[in-house]
Amino acid sequence: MKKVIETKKVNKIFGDGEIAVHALNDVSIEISEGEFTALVGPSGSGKTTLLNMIGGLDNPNSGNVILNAQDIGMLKKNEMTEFRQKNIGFVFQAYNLIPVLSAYENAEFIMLLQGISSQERKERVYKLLEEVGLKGKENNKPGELSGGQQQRVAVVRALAAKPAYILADEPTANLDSTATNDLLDLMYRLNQEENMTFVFATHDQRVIDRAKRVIYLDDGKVVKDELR
Amino acid sequence: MKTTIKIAWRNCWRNSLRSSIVIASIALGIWSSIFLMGFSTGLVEQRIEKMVNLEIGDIQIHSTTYDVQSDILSTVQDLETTENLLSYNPNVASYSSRFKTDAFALSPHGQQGVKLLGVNPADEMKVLNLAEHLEEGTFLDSKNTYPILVGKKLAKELHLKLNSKIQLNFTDTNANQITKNFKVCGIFYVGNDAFDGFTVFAPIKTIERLTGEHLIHEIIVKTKNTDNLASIATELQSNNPNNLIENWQKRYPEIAYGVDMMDTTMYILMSIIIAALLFGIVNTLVMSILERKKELGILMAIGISTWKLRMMIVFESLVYGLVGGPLGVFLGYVTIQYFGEKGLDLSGFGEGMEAFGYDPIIYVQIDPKYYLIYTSYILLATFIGGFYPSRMATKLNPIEAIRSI
Repeated sequence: MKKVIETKKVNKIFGDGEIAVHALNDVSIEISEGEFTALVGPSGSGKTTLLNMIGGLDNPNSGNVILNAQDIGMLKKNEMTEFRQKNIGFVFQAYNLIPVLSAYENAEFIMLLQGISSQERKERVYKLLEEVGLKGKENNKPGELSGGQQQRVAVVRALAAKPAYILADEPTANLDSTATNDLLDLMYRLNQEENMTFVFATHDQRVIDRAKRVIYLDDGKVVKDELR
Repeated sequence: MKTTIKIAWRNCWRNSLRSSIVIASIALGIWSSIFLMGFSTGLVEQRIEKMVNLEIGDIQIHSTTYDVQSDILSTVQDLETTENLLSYNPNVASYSSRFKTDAFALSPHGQQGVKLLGVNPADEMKVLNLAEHLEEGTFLDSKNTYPILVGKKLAKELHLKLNSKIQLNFTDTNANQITKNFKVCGIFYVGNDAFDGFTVFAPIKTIERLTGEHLIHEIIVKTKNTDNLASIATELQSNNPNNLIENWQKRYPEIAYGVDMMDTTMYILMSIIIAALLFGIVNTLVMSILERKKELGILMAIGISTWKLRMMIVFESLVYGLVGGPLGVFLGYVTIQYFGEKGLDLSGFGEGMEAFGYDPIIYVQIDPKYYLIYTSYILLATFIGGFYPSRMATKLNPIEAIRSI
């Protein structure tokens, strides 16, 4: 299996001196294509920090982060931005759609940045919106959609650009049970059918239960790596 | 880029009240600048028009010693040649040769130093429109042997009416005192205290009878085309080296400088207004960025380039200029058209204005090029105004921005 994410002895320290917090401590993990992985741990365990590292949003103090065979420590800011745009799909806790754009426009946004043709964008977005049950909601602004619907648009936005992998930070934190299950069903199905790689940072048991691999973190260290 | 512009446009209207206030302030700033420019231009142009048409003419001819000695002996040289030169010059519409000296005017109610102008009424009326500004009487068209035309302010100070007697005292070329009683045949009013209060006109034939000489100290010239006065004056000068021939701009540089000064003042004022607007725009955009830090963080995380993010903010700033600028220009245009036709009546301040020769009713006017200049300036200002906020946006740390509330 192709490795899409690899960290080698990654350390991340926030602050200096006595108030320094060792958020990640020699973390080394490998995630391959098609995995459905959950990063689990209590608050402050380092799961979001690790997710930011493998999302190219933050840099380690030491160690290497290799994403899709590219050591991102070698990339400049603009190169990293472009790398994220082309390789990583993000799903955030609070949906984080662009409020002035419609569901369709939000979903096509990354493809627009990538320069994909109008016809192809249209085909992909309409297909995915239909798949996630948002047919007919294309022109609705985020404020006109429920939390679950907004999160589904966010997933479509992440998926539509066909990234190497998708990172989801507490994607179900603001959703009710039904919306959570619908979302997990969707992502699980995409993982199964499209071999899409998902990495979650979560402490939602419903997500953990569906994960095929669970990496446990505590005090910035990997304490358990469970394959199911 | 289309989507970036679309997002920028929609972002501007997320807080429509705030955006409307910014746009209104831009429109108001532009409108006030245009109106002030139109007002000042109208004020100065009317002042110049009045001076040229009622007091000084387009071009003046004096002896080269006139400004140095300024006495009754400083007469125009080669008078006949000079007058012939003017008569045959195709650019000259008309001219009037004047006797001009300082005199002392007395009436039973007071006394006043005045400038006595001896003129041929027919010639003078061809150059100046003073006859149209008579409050009473005629332009020296009187059967009286010693008629005199006085200004309204002088008439008021010396308690003169039509047919009142006024005594004039001045010296001839031999330094003999000439004292003569004149009878007021007309009272003019041009709305300039310096002219209305200190100038009297008498027929040159009358003056010649008193002095016994044909003395011409000044020739005022009206041209057919006022656009190239300087070149006409230069041409006349080249053929008449013994006299000093000057267009009004050269003769009265303080008035010509007034036009330049007004332009400069208006540019300074416009710059101040635009700078104030710029701060307002920057402030609004900074607030807007701080309010949506999280959203900008998301955009950065999902891969919007620094360039596109900057352009998005700059476009937001430009939207304010693109809406507010033309709106202000349109309002300015409407105001200029209205007050250009109806006039802005400032008679409440008329006395003070007239003391400096300004009309109490101002017909505002503006060179149309300024509409384009103002529009360009505000667009440039809003474009520049977006730089700092856009830089601020790109300096955000995506993680911290996403975590922000």
